[in-house]
Amino acid sequence: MAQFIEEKKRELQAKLENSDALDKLQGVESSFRKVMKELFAEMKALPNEQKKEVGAAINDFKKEFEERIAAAKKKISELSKTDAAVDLTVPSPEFIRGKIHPLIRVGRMFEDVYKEMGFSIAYGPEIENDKHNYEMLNMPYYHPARDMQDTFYLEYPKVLLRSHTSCVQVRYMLEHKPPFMIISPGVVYRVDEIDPQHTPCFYQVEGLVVGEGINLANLKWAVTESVKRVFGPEYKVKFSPCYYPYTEPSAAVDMGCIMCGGKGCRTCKGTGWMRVAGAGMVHPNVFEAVGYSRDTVGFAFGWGLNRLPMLYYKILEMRKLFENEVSLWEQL
Amino acid sequence: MFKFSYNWLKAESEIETDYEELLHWLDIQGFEIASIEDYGDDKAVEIEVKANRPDMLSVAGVLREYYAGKGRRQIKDFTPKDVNVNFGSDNSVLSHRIVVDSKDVHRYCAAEIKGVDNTGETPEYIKDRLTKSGIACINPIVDISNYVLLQIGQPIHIFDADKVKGDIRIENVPAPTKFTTLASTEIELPTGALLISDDENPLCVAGIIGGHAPEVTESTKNIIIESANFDHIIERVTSKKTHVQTAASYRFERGVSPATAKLGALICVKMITELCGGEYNKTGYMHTDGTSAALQKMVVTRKRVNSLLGSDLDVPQICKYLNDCFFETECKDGENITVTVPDFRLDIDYDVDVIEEVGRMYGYHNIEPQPIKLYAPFVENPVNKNANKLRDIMVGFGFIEVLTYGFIPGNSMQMLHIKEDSEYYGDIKILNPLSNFYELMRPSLAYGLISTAIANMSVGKGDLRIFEVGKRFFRQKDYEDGYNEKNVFAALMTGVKLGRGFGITKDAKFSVYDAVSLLDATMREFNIKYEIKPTDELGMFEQGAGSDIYVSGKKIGYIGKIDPKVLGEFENGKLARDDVLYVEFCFEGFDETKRCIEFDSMYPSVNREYNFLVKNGIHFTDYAPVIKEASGIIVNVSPRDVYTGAGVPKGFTSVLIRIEYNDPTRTLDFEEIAGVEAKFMKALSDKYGITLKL
Repeated sequence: MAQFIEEKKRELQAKLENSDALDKLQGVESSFRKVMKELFAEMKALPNEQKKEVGAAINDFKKEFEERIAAAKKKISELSKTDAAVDLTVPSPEFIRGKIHPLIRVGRMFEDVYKEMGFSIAYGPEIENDKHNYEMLNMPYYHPARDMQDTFYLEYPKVLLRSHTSCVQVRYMLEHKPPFMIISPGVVYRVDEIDPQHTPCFYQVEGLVVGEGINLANLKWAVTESVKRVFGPEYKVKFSPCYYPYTEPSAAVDMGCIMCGGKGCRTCKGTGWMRVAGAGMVHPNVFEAVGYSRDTVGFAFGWGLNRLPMLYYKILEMRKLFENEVSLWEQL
Repeated sequence: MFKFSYNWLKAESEIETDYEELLHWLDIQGFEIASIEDYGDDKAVEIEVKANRPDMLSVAGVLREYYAGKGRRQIKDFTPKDVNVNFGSDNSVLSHRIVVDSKDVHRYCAAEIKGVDNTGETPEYIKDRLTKSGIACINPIVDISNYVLLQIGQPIHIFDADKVKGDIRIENVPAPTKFTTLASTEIELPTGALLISDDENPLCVAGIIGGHAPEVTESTKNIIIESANFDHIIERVTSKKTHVQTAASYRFERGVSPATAKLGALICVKMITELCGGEYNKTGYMHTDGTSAALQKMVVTRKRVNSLLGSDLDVPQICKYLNDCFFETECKDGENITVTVPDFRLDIDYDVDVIEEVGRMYGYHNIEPQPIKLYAPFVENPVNKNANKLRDIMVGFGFIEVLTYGFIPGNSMQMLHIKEDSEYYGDIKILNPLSNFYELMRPSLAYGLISTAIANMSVGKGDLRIFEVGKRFFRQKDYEDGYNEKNVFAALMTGVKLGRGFGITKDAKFSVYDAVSLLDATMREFNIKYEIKPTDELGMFEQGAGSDIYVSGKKIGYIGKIDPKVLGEFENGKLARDDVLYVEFCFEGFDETKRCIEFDSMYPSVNREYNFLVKNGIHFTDYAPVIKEASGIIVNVSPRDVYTGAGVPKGFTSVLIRIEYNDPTRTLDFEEIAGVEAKFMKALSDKYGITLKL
């Protein structure tokens, strides 16, 4: 019997030494279980006086191999760990994502917020005429406020490049009756030499809400709410009296400086505020010009967007927005 | 803009002033502080004054605003007490007759002083105040006229009476007229401009600029002081057309109160006689056309105030705010308030103007935001929706969005080899461009994208995928002002699309087929069927490598490989070593039709690939339908590769096509497929001479 046990031990040991993978080791384990079964069956057949001695030998055998198999298992699993050929810290260049231009990104944030509030989006032409861009907006040809918007002309003085998207609102009013809530996002043009902080075109999002009961307090809500939704609830908004020929009362809108959070820095010239929009209650002359009653009420606002993506993404020069260095936009 | 010395304001004030308090009040009233110059014991403060508040372009105006903030309801009276000039309508009381012959003259006050001595020094305090306001000092009389302008906002003009020949005549010029200014520049006055002349010479452009003839110098002895009020429209038009803007024209074109004309003359008389001696004529001349003779009155209702501001103010509150800024109010019924507008407020025309005054005095910061309670139907904007969809598709394809200017160089059509008779030729030019580099309204986004690509190549970025969504402009005779514009999408790709490594043995570069793939994938996203028709009309594409894109028979854009010769026209264009592919199309009117998902067949498909030898000029879109027609079990015909070169006869292209066979009702057997193959091969051969490449 002892000899038989030794023989089985040798057989298993040989198998175990050949096992360099988990599946082979599983084979060794099942052989081991089989051998044990066999040995215990053999032992039962032995006379009682031999049983004790043989039993102890079989138990030693069992214990010894259980330990050996466990050790082999551990060794194999450790080997597979250290030998892994895949370095999962190396990305292949397979997947790349494109990027949306920072101006459009910020523009879309505003569009989304206003759509959530129930605004529709209106578009209009960039080549405009004096009537839509100025005259119907209470700015006759002699109006000094025209100086605020130095204009490019295709045919002087009739055909021009729109200097704001308010002309889209004029066109919209000519074609629709209140109530409505619209925004008109788009590119506008003003004569401005290109330098680090100036470009001859920029991006505006203007809004117009016309309908019964609309007031300045609603305007304050719409503008304040959009700042909070786009930039965060911590941003404060300030309204102060201002002048636009097409609104009365008019307001200038400042928001807390994005750079310093309102503490005062170089960007905000130490004031803690940034001028971001103009707004007001639509002037009765404008309503009259588009064929509405002078008693109509509504508000309008206009965001100049060029500065916002600059501050949002810390783009130092405004002209960079139109230079399109791809490696910059890739970082967005 | 208006710049003033704080010490001057303090000296004029009848109440104690506080510098910080003044600045704060101006700021919250919307008069932004543009700059502050620190002189130690004084500050020169520059404020931004919007076009509606010309009354703030003087020390008196700023002082009034300060009083408004302090609630002092009495404004300062600047009238000199000890000067007595009796202004009448007799125009011959002075040494020169004054003839006003224009409806654009609302007031014309003239006073005369004889025997002045203008050789002395201007007193320090006047010099100091003028300099701090940015006005140069010349001689005492001229300095006094500028001083009065800054003090009360009334432009003053002074003639050397000895230099005037005969009458002083004010009239509108009947035709464009040349005039030489004090600065010796010749300008051309537009028809209708107000010119002041004597019997021989033009003297000055009324309210804008003087000429040499009646100029006041050190030797001047006798003077006529003009303190007038000219119409803002003619002043604005003349100033604009002649490009002459002076402190006087700046005020006149914005509006000066006619009430200050006489006051201006009186202050001048007093200051000049005090400082330069001389004797003033006790009689003066005043022309008036009656403008603003009476103070304006209007009715504002409590309801309208509150409904516009979203406030809940009662009548006493509203009246208090208005009284504080010098409006008189009267209310008998607790609702309708009759408001009398002060004479210096030329901007108050309607009740909304008065309501703004209430709002600003109440404080915009005191108006609580209220959510909008309005139902307005939401209307989808398809152009906006399509533009955003295109952007999202392109982001998925790894493209970067760029934004370029709508105007491109004047010579860009030549650079792009677009001929004058082409429908893509652009000739819409800006009259006042920044330079000829930004002169032409773009008829295509190609110039912008190509120059952006080359600019990136010059900083070492040669592998590019970029796109832009924007407008193209063109002429259209029967449309509005003769111009039209369309929203277009354009993409450019060049360089490596798939780099060597990670299983790829060689850099794969963009080819014209990738441009087609981009177009195809994009159109599929919109579920739009399109056609491509080769064209050589567009000079910017390489011969034979350009096509028009059609949807429903309408041309919507073009696609192709940019001719290297065109790239060579650009500065640094030689940096473009790889193929530059370009696609542009108009996406207006894209209306995505609803799609249904077709469920896969339960039976397996059979995929087979065929290497066709196709004669050049025969297109996949021509012969693919022929294959499909062969049997209903062909569910897909897709190109896998194209190849020319060794093993392919000249004039032919080898095209690898994959065909998927499937029948949703049964398993296909190979014999049946062989039959279908034979059928389409015969059709291909008969119709297009296409054979299998062996």
